[in-house]
Amino acid sequence: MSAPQSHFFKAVFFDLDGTLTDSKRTIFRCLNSTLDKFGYSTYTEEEIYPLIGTLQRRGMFYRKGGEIPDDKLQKMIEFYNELYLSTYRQDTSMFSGIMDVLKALKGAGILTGIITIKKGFIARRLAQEMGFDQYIDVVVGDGDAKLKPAPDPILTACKSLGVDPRFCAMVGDAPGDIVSGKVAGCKTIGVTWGANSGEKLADAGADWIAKGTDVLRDLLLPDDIVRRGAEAEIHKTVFMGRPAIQKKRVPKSYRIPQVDCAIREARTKEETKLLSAARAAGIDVPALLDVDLARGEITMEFVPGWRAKDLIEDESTTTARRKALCRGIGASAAKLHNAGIIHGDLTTSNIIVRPSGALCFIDFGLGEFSKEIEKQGVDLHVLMEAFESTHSRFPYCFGEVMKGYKAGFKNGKGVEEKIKEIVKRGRYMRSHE
Amino acid sequence: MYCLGIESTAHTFGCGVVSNKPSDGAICTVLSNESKMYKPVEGGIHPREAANHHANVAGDVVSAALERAGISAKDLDLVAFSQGPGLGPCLRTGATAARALALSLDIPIIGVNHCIAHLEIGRATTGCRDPVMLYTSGANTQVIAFAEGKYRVFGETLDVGIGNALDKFGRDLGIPFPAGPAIETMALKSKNYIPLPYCVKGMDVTFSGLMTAAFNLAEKNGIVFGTKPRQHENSLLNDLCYSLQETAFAALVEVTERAMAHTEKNEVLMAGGVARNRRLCEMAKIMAEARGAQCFVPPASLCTDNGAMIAWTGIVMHRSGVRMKLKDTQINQKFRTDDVEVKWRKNGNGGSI
Repeated sequence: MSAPQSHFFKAVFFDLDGTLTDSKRTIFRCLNSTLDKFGYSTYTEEEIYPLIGTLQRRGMFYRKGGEIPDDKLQKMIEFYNELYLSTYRQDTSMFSGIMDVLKALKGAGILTGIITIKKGFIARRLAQEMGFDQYIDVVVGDGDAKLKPAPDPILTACKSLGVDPRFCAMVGDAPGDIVSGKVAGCKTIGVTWGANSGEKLADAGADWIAKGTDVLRDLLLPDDIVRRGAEAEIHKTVFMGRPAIQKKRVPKSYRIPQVDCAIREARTKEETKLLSAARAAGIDVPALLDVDLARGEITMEFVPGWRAKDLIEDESTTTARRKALCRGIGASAAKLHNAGIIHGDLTTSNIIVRPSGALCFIDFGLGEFSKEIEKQGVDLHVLMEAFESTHSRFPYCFGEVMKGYKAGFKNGKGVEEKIKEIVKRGRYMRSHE
Repeated sequence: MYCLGIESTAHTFGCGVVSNKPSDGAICTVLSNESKMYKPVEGGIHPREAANHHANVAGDVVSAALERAGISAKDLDLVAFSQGPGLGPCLRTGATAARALALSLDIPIIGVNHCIAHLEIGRATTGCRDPVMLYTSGANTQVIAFAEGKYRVFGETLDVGIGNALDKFGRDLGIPFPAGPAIETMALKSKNYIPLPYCVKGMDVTFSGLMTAAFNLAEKNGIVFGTKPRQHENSLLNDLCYSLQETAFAALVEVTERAMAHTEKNEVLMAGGVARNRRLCEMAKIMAEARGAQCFVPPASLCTDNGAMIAWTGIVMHRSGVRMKLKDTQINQKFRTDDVEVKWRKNGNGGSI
């Protein structure tokens, strides 16, 4: 696999305030105390929150104090830092779920760093006192490199970790985080629990927007490549803040771009048509979210639930439930065939049982439109083989599938005969015969 | 052990002498590999004419093979021949020659599956161990790999072999047989891709539609049979040859990659006459490298139909204990690779012979 896999990251960098820690109240309180003590007017909450993470303390003082003499400013900063460090515990906390993300990254062997406009020593002390320094490999703050939105702090962090920025991600809640990450060459993820909205972060060019730490975790962890076949990769992704599945037909360098693009485009189009036709016929398949023909990508709903394969094999599934499930599979297959759709890879791994109990067919990569009995027979024969190999402990299952199928499909008997004929042909281990 | 192998499945009558060392029976030495090829005066291969050709040259080719190997007939320990798949009359000519030799020398005879011979000579001479073989010749276009004790076909053409498809395209336009090399040369002169139908169904391929589309385009633009070779210095023809190769070979490499993913093997072996095409090999190599696999191409003389591969496979089979009586040596035009019990390889075994 020569090309860098889009989101298998070597290192992930986080902004601190508003991304890892919820510190806006602390900043607000310490800033106003300092301004008040040195005789300046104070901020309102509405004024200050959008500035956090973008404007340094110095700038925040100037904004209210006008021209502050250098020595006075120095004193203010010292006062602020002291107050901050001695009192931040009152009102600074980590965003819930963030600690789990950091732990999971560590567990997956992915390096982490903090990129902040706070003084580096303050950030390090904070991390230590709040107990997450053990999950952080590098901290780059004010004094260590030029500040965000310049790419310098990220490049400095990459250098110290020995990683290529192209294999890293920058996570932040401010447009400056995104810009800094993009210029450095990283993938960028905007989070919406800090100071800015998803739209604002997307405008800044974020590759993804995470509306919750669960989404962030899905994006960052390497198990996002769910499956890699000869033709396509299945990625976990996020679409408008919700978990989604992206199927990418990857370019093949052995064929010329004209052939490559045409094939990927045609197949992506065909699969899209199958999915929408199935949905139009009232068959539960993943909802299409986006299609990018030129890139050969289909983004679709992430279907929550269990694979039919696992439910059938589960010891706690009762025989009655198992039979009902199999009849349901047959009935759903009948609906597909009634709609003139051949699934092409009908196995119990490609059927998801939603929490509601509804059966959802996934992966139409080998599917086609056809009402030929031969194709319908082959479709069910594949399913039969899946039952015989994977669920041989429950030999009654496929009979139930056929019951459900015949009840829903007019020529069910004919297809049943066809399956018998196909079995007799007995060609071994051909792709899907 | 010295084995003489006879190949006569189609237009080539080949005879090779191969030995293995007493110290290490698994090491293959090709002592000679002679052949004569039947070239039709016009049109495609005519089975009876080809068989007549083979009968006429058999004596000379066998003598030449022995002479080149530097041994006499009585030094031989084994005779092997192509038992199929192939053209009946051609196969029968080779089988008759082999039986005559075995009987007169009183040595064992072994019938070899032609497709398996391509794979075994590849394993013996290129260093690959457990490859997925992309076997592309005139009549054959198959993706073959070892699984569950047999060589199995994972994908194949549903209509014509790629070599025949190219030949037919050439023939329709007056490019002499075999057209493949001429098409390859013309393809090199173009970088202008004309869209042509691409047909992969699962792990199988088809070429008839592609060829018809290419021919129709040629015809529409005034390139027809009888056009003088000089007029073939035509940029559209170059474009068509280029597009034909790019489309057909992409399909071949795609099904090969699917078979590799399916069988989880990381070697690809090129075999058959069309494997001499540099572009096809280049594409297979790029595909293999992109998936962290290796691509192996035997020398040209062992890629096309040849007697040495038959001889070597005879040795391999004989060492594994295969013995045949004369009545077992009937030819089989539709000899499937998975009809052969592969005793010389253990299940899931990648290495030993």
